Amino acid sequence: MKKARVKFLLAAMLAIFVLLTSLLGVINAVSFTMAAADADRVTEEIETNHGMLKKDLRMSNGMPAESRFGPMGPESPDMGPSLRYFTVTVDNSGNAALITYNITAVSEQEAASWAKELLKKTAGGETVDESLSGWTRGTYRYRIYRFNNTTYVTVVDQAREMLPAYRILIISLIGEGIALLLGAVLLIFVSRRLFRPLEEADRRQKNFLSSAEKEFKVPLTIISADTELLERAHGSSEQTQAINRQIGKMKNLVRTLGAYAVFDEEKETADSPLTALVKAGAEDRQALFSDKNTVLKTEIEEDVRAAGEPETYRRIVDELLLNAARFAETEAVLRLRTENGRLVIETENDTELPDGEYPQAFDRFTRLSNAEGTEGAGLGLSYVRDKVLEMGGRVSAKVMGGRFTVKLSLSLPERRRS
Amino acid sequence: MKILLADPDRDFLTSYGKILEIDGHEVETAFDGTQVITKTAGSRFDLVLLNSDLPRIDSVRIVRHLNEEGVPAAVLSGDGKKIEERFKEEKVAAYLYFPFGPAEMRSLVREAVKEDAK
Repeated sequence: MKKARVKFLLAAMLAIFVLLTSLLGVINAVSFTMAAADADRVTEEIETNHGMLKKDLRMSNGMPAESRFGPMGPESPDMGPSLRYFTVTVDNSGNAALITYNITAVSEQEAASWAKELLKKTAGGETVDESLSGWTRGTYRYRIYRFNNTTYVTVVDQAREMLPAYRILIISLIGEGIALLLGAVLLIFVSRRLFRPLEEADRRQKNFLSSAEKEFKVPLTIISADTELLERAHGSSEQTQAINRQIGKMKNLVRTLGAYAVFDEEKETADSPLTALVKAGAEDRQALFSDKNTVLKTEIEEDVRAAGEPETYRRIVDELLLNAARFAETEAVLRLRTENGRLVIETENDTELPDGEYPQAFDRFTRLSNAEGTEGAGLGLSYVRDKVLEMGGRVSAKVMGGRFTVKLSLSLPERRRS
Repeated sequence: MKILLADPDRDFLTSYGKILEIDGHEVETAFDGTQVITKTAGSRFDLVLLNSDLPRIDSVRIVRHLNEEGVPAAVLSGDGKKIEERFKEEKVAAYLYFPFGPAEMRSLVREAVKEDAK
């Protein structure tokens, strides 16, 4: 349950992060786009006036700048802060000439070489047919255009104009950080309350399974002994054989209940010698098959190892074999192999079931139509599925051409051979 | 062999006491730790089979006492392999985990005798 809570927290935080980042990303993208559009309007005006702002052009011609109310004096407060920009012309021979210089942050020489560098970078030194604009060196907006066979490069300092956009960006980032932190704190608090009833239910279920498992164990042991005593006294009968079969079924059920009771217990990660485990498992259950006059074949790849508790793999293989033994008509096959970086364990047995997928084989207390008259409570494959899924693997059960195959696959770490 | 079978469940003592007697052993039973101590003080047993959760006296202390007396002890438990951690400081001839049947009990007796002979 602790793992589930951690997964919930991570998923919720990721969702908040994606949502916030998307929203703020859009806002900032619009903000910067609008700033670029505003800068382009300015550079377009400069292009229209062949390298100068309209007011600068008028003033350079000895005419006053104009507002909508009429001419403005140079010291008029309505002039606003003057735009910091320069325009350089570059002829076909690559000679640069500064035609407008209204910026102190850049020297005249630097302006000329900057213009040539821009031209080379954007147009590859070739003649431009259409105006090109963009950002350069952070907050400078440039425009490259042609007029009268001359290439013009205008660079406008938009640092001041970009301030609002950068403020929005910084506030967004800080805001997102604070929101994520607050979100994390809130989620931890909320998840604790949300999961408490689930954790309590899980704990009660495990206690119940553990108690049920323990409570069944001694009675089963006693019934085994008493059945043998009855058989010694009165001989074996159909009834005592039926009792023994049911004892076997109950023992399997108890064992699986016990496995579920400790399902989530944290264990040290081990490295399991799968080849040896699977071979041993097949050997242990060989008698089950021979008692039913069925054959168990094995196809086990050598030197296979995998991460995980040996006991877990032992139990998984055992459940697969018990299932195969129960339903095999004449033979069953147990396979262990590696395939495309994945570990595959499967059992295959002959069957009368029709072809198809049988995912319901893994449902708890569900037994397929061919299970009548056999042992098993319908928990074994359910345990296999739950455990394999917990380990990040996949399970499948299907029938093809009269062969029922239960297959599990898990990803292998890079080192798969001992 | 003379075997002392100790378990809090009287039905278990009856059934497995009988099984062991049929197998030719002399069997006495005890249903708590105090009885184990009393009976082992009065008689020499070849093997004591005791439940890991006997009432009155902790089973670990009983096994320690039996070790001191040189009496081999085998432990029956419903808690699986993790019970071995509890008894790791003591010498236990064998472990048997519930649920089991008469065949497993016989294997346990054979294994315990073999282990003690070592």
